[in-house]
Amino acid sequence: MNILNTLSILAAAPSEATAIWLPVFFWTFALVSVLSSLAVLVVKDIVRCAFLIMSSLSGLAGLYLLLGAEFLAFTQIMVYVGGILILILFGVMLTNREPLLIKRMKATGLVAPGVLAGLILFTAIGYSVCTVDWKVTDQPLPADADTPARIGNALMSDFILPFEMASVLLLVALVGAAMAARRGGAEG
Amino acid sequence: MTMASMYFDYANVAVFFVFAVVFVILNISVISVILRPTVENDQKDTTYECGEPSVGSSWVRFDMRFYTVALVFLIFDVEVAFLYPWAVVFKDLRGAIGGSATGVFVFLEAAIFLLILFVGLIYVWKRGDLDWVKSSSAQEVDARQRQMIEAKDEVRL
Repeated sequence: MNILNTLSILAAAPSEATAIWLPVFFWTFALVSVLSSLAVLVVKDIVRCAFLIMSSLSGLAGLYLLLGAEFLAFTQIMVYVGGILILILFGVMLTNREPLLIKRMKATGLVAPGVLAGLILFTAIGYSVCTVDWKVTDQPLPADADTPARIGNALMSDFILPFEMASVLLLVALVGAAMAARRGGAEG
Repeated sequence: MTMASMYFDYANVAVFFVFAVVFVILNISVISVILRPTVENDQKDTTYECGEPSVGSSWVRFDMRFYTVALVFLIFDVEVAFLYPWAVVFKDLRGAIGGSATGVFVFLEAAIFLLILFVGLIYVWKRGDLDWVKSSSAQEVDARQRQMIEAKDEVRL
């Protein structure tokens, strides 16, 4: 019921033009996201899977945008669509030893545990989505809902140390990634 | 900025998107079909490789160096994600007190952020992970190691 509330509020936007177009965009992004995720499971060609993941992640970015989370949406596109997907594609190309990359189920004994794990995960997420008391409001977002600017102001005032620490964390990740890739290259 | 005006901003993006899609579809599937002469030819179905006849399959195994470069790229991609909110507010913070201490402070914050990651770039560069062709010094080291291994093998024999 709570989810339905959220959806109906998303549809009931302030101006009339948005009220008409918002559900259209919402369902477009949602369908793109869900259908391409499902297609990833069905399609056998791994490179096509990677491109379907791209459309799924882009659809999610669109949904973030509709919710007013601009920073999240752009980070999603920049880091996930622009970065991690490239990494996945390179990973696919690196492991390629056959003329065509086709998914194959070798260990059929894994089907039952896989289904079980999927069911547990689905139940856990579904349960938490339905039971958590989401703070639903029908008020429009405040006038200063410009999320990138708010995050920027916060980073430059109250969260300067975490901001600089993020840089150190990235440095550690960079050095670690270079080390790991180097060792793998020496073996291969 | 209210929700409605934010959506209006993104209506611009939507218009661009629609134009881009329509432009490509119109050019490839409509206008070109009308204008081009239809001459059937086997070679038209081959992959375009700068006019050269393509050799072998495109499913070759990538060099490991691509992956290293992709990893390094990903780190700097996340860096940009951090700098994006900074860039949005920089002009406001700088102008707030007329480009005084706040502006310098905010600028230095980002400079330190970049500097810390620049150390990482120097590290990767120095180690030669970014070298597309191995440097001559690295090749010499490789050759020396190979000689040592061969020498050991000879002793064992």
